[in-house]
Amino acid sequence: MYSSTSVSSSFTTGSSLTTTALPRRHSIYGTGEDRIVLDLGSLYIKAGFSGESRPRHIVPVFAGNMKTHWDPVFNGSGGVVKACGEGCRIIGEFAELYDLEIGKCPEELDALYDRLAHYLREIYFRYLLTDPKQRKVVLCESPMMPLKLKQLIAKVPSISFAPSHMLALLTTGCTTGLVIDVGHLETTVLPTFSARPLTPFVRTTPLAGRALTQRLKELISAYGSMIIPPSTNLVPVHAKYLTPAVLEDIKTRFIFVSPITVEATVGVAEKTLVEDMEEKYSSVSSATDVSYPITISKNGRERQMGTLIIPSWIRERCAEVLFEGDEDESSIVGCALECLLKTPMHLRRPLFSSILLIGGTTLLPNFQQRFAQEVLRALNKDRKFKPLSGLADHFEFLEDNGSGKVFVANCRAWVGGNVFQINSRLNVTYTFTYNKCVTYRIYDNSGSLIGSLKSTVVEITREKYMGQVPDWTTSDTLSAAP
Amino acid sequence: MSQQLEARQRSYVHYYCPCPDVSKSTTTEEEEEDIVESIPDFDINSPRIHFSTFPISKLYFCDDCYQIRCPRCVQEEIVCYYCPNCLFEVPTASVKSERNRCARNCFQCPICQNTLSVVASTEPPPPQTSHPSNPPSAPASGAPYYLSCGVCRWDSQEIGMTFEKATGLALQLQKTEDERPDVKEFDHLKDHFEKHLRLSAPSTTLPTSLLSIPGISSFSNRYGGSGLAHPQQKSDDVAKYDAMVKVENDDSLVHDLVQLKDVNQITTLTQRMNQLSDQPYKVERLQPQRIHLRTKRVKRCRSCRHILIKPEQKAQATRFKIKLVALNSIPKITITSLPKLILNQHTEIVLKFSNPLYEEIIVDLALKDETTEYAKITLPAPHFNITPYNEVWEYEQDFIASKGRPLSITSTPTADAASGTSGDAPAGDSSTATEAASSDKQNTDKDETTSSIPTTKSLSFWTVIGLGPVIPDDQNEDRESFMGSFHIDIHKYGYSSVKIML
Repeated sequence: MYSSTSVSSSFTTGSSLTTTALPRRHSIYGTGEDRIVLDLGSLYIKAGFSGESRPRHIVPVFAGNMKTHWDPVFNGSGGVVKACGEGCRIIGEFAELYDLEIGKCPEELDALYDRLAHYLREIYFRYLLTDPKQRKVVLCESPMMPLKLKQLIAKVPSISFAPSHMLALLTTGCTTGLVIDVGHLETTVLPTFSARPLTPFVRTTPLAGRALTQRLKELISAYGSMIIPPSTNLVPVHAKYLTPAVLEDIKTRFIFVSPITVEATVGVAEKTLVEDMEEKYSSVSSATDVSYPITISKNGRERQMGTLIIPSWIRERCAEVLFEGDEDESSIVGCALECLLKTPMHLRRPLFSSILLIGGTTLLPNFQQRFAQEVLRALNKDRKFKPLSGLADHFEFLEDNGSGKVFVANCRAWVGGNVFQINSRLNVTYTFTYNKCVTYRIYDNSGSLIGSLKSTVVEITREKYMGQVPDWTTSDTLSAAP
Repeated sequence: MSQQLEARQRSYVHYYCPCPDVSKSTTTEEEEEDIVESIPDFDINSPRIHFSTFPISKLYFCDDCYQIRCPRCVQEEIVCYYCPNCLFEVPTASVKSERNRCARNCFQCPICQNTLSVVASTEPPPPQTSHPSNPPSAPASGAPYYLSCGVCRWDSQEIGMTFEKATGLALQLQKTEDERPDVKEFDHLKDHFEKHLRLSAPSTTLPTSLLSIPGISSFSNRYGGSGLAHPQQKSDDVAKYDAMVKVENDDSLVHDLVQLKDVNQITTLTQRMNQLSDQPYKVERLQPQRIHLRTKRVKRCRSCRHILIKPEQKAQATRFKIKLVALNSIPKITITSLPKLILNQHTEIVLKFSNPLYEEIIVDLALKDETTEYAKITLPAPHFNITPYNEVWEYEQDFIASKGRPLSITSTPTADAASGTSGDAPAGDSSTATEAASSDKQNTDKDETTSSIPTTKSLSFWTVIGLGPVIPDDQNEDRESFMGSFHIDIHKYGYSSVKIML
C-alpha cells in the first residue's frame, strides 16, 4: 500500500518518471504521519485519526462539563449573555456550538473560541489521547461553514480544509454526484462533478435538524400530555420540560419519516400549519403513542420522574416540516431540484442519477424513501421543475448502487476526510470567472500531481498562518502563494 | 426545602485566572504601586468569564511565577496510558493500534456503560438463534463464558456472544471487528483511489505554469456545448468503482418504530455513539465495547515551563511526585452561611477564609463595584490577618457579607457580623460584613481583597462568588407562578470578586 506522502514527495524531488516507479512503501499505521480528522458540526464534533474507517468519537456539544449558558434562540443576535443576566450559569445545557451568523460581535467570537478550545482540548487529551503539538489536522468543511470559525481553528500546527460534500462523495468511490447534506443548522446541496465541487451552484435551506427540533417542540407543547406523579391525570406539557436535550433524544429515537399520504399525492407539497396537523394526520396514523420517561425535578441525586406522552401522529408526521417549503425557504427536495436547475444541462443527468444524502438528519428512518417519493412528485406536479421532468427515470441514489449504508450518513464526510487524506496532496483553487463558469487552477505546492483527485486544499501551517484561511468566498487570497 | 438545597448547589466560589500567557491582549506589568490597579481588569458580564473562572480544586499554583495557573495555562504531556478498569499500563506503541481501548478483558456495557464482568455459565446456554453478527465462538458447543453487567443485568448471551476462554476476550472478538463491512469497504476504497493515483501520475511531468490551461480549456469546451470530451477529462475521472460490500437498508426498523411499545427498545444517542461502526437504532444490535484508555499527564506552567503536576509513572500508584495545587497555596474561600436571598431584604453572608500556609497572611478585600444595578454590597471588615495553618487547630477567618433592603443603605451593625461568625473559635479574628441592597431582581457581590506585608510576596486575584437564586419578596404567590418566576430569576446569581494579597 502506497501512502500519499511517498508519492507526492517523490514528485517534489524529481521531475522524472523514475521516481514514480519506485515509491517507498509506508505503513498506514506508521507513527507521526497520522493526521487528526475533525468534522465540526454545530451539535456534534466528529473526531478521529486518518486511515481509519470510522471516527473514534462523536462528541456532543453538550455544555455538560462546563459552566456556560448559551441560548440558541438568542445566539447570533448579539448581546446574548447580557440578556439572560450576569450570573446566568446553567450547567448541562445542550446548545449549538456556533451559528451561521457568528462573529457579529467580537465578544461572542471570543467566547466561541474559548468554547472550541475547551472541546478540542477535551478531544485531544481525553478521547484521542494524543499530543496536539505534533498532529496535523484535516478539517471537513461545509461550503457554508462560517469563515470566522475557520479562522479560529486555524491555529494548530498544520491544518487542511477539505470540502465535506466532496469527501462524502469519495466514500462511495465516485467523484460525481449531487450531495445533499441535511445537518442541524441548514441543508446544503452541492453538485460535484468529476471531483470538482461546483460551488457557485450551491443551494441552501434552513429546513434541517434545527427546524425539525423546533417543530417537534411546537407539536409536543400543543398536543402532547404529561403525567406528573403523584397525580395520575394528564396535564398539558409545560415548555420548561422540553429542554434541548430531551428534544434531541426524542428526535433521534422516536421520530421517523412516513410516506406521503394518499390525498396529498395529488398536489404539490404545501405547508401545513401546526394547528391543522392534528386534524390532518391523527386519523390516518397507525403508530403507537410513546410514553417517554422525563425528569421532572432533580434534587441532588434523586430524580422525580414523570411521563411524557407523545402522540403517534407526531412521531409520524413531525418530519413533514422538512418536505414542505414555500417561496422563502424551499423544502429539502425543492432545494435539491433548484440546485439541479442551475447546473448546466449536460451535467443534470449524471448528477441526478447519483444522489447522496448525508448529515445527521438523514438518519431518520425512511428518510431516503420519502425523499425519492417527493422528488418524483415534484417532477410530475410542480411546474417550476418542468425542465427536469424528463430526468425522472434516471433518479437514483448512489448508495443503492454502491455499498449501501456501509458508512453511517452522519460520518460520511469524516470517513471521506480519511480517504482524501490518503490520496491527495494536490491543490486546486477555484476561481470565478464572469459568466458564472468555474475554472480551476491547479497547482501543487509540494511538487505536482495532476490527474488525481482534483480538489484539495491548501495546507496551512502555524508559521505561515496570517489570519487568512482559504475559502471559496474569498477565492484567491491564499492560492497564489505556493 | 428543595429550593434551599438547590440554592446551595448553585452557589459557588470561583477563582479568576487571567491566563496572561494565553490571551495576548493582557500584558500584565508587575511593577505597579497601586495594587488595585495592577489586577487585570475583568468583566463579569463577558461570556468569556465562564471559561476563565474555576473552582479552587481545578487550579494549580506555580511557585516560580508566583501565579495561579488554570487548566488553560498549563501544558500537558502524556506520561502513560492505562486502562481505568484493569489498571494495566498500555505501551505507547500499541495504543494507536488498539484504538485507544483496553486490549484485554475490559468491556463496558452497551446499555448503561458500566463495566462488564466475565461470568462462567453454570448451565449450557440456550440454543442460539443464528444472529447475523454472531460473534466468535461456536454457539452450539455452549461456550462457557459470557459478559454480564452488574448494574442493568444485561448479559452478552442476549446477543449470542459467548467466549471459550475467560481471558483475552478482546482478541477473541478481534476477528469480527476486522470483518466489519465498513473496515473492509474502507480498505477497498483506499486501494481504489491509490490505484487511480498511480495510473494518473505520469501526466504530472508538465510544468506547473501550464497546468491551468488544460483545465480551463476542458471546461470551456464543456460549457461551450461541444459534446466532445477533452482528452484530459479521461485521466481526470476516477475509474468506475465497484463496492465490495453492500449493507442493505433495514426495512423492519420502520415497522418496529410504528409498533413501538417500550421506549427502551430504541437506543439512546449515548449508546449509539459508543458503537460508531453502525450506530444502530435497535437495542439488540448493540455490542459491548472495550473500555477506553486514560492517560496520566505531566502539567507544566506555560510561562516558566516548570512542572506543576507530575504523577507516578505506574498506573496503580495514585501519588504525585510533584503536586503544586492552588489549594495548598492560596486561601480557600468557602461560604459558611447562606441564608435565603429575598429580594429587597437585607441579608448577611458569611465567608470563611482558610490559610493553607505555615505563615501568617494578610488579607485585603475589595469590591469591584460597591453598588451595582442589582445590589449594594458592603464589607464590614476589609482587612484582616489569618494566622498560620496549624495541624492541630484549623484557624479560620470569617467574613460576613450581608444584603440590605434598598432603602436602608446604612451599613450593617457590627452585631450582625459577630453573630455571623462561626463558632469554631477563630483565632486572629476579624470579620467583614458586606452590606448590600438589592434594588433589582438580582444581587451581586463584587468583593476585592488586597493585603500587603512589605517583606513578603504578594498575590492578588479576583474571585466570583455566586450566591444562588434570589427569591422575589412577594411570598404570597401561588406555587405555579412561583415556579415560573423561579425560572426567570433563579439564574441571576450574586458575584464577589475578591482580590487577595499575600
